[in-house]
Amino acid sequence: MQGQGSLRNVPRKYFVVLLAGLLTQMLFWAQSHTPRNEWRVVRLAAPSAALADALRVADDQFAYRALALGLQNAGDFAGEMTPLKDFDYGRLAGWFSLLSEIDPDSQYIPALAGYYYGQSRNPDQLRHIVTYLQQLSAKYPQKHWRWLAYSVYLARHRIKDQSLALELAYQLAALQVADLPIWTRQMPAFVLADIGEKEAARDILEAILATSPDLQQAEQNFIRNYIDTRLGKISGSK
Amino acid sequence: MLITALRDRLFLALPVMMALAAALTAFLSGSALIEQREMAASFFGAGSRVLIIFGMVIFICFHIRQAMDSGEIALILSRPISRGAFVLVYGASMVIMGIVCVAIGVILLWICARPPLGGLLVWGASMALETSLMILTTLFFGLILASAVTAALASLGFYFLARMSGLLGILADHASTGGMMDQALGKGFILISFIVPRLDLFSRSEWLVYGWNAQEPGLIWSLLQTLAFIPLVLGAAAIDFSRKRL
Repeated sequence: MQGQGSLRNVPRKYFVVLLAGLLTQMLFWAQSHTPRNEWRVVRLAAPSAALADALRVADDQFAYRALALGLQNAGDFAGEMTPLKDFDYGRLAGWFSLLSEIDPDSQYIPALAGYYYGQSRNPDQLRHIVTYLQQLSAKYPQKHWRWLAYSVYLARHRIKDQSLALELAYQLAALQVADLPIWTRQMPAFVLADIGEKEAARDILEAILATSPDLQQAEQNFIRNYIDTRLGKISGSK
Repeated sequence: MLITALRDRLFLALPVMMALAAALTAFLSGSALIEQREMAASFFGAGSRVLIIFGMVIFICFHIRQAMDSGEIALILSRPISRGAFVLVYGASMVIMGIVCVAIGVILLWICARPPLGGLLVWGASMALETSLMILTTLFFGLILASAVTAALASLGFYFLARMSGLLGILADHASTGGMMDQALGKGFILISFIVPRLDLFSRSEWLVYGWNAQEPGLIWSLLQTLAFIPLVLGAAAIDFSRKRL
């Protein structure tokens, strides 16, 4: 005979066991549900590239996304938040580099590094982010040159290390990428203007004007206006 | 077979589980900083693959054991049908069921993550091949092993090994430069990899994220591997089943 009979046929002692189990489970929950902070810091250093190869061999895109989401939520667990200052950015940068090797096309990890972990106010931590973004854009300039521009911003306005910003700006301007916007070539001039090297900045912008005959009129106007208002008059220009 | 699947609520349980996986995927990927669609596609692709393979393996193992115990298989074989033909027909009917499950997964994936259509179709075709291959492997274990639990564990163990077969190759390469023990292990890995299909080449999540990239071997490898492995596993199942006393 199949089907379910009435609950009245079930011995009451079983209900007692069930209720006792439910009570025990609720007691356990009351003791254990307080937020744990398992991901307070990135506890593990990134594995070596060889080990990562082994780990991702079954489905590397899934491994990449799962680890990336783990990194995004590192430190935030069950309602507890960990301040960015408490993170080990050296280890974070190791994970960023490793994951960017697994999927060099994705913007997820550089965005996470730049926009989220890049919010730290600690210049020492930010240097790790800048180094990662710099290396990424140097290795994959076609896809990730924008992150070099962003690292110029981090160096210039967040770390306030103008020499680093200038170095990054020169790297950005020198990238061999097709259809790079003109402002990437102007970037060193902007940094130079900030640190008072107005003559050098003017030289760069004049050189851009002289060597870019196809520049749109609006761009030319902007450069001339910038030179006029920020750097002083150009000698011999229209 | 179809009646058993309906009776065991396979076509209810698997879609419900996949729908729950889709909901969980949507929840997880919704918290992603950017590329939420890509996140959902890769998570649901991996999750539905595990669900379909696990569901089919467990169903087939217990179905075969039940059919053996109830004398259903003996009854079928009392008709003028060879044991080899029985294995073939039985396997084909299971493969059809597996393809139905994959089709449900593909539809849910489209609803849940809207991956590039080309990539989704290639992934679905590759997933159908992977499922077919695992169904026939499970049929083999189900027919030769006396216990459903043992057959299910053996099939799932084989699946993990096959998904990690690329790792075996890497380990074998690394071991060849080591000491005598490492080299012996490396040779062992190579021997194992002879008979383990390269399932790591099947239904890759990057197709769901970046679409079908024609420069990759992709589906061709899946097809060739399936064509190479199916005769092997069906032959082994037919040989062993032919000498089995029912």
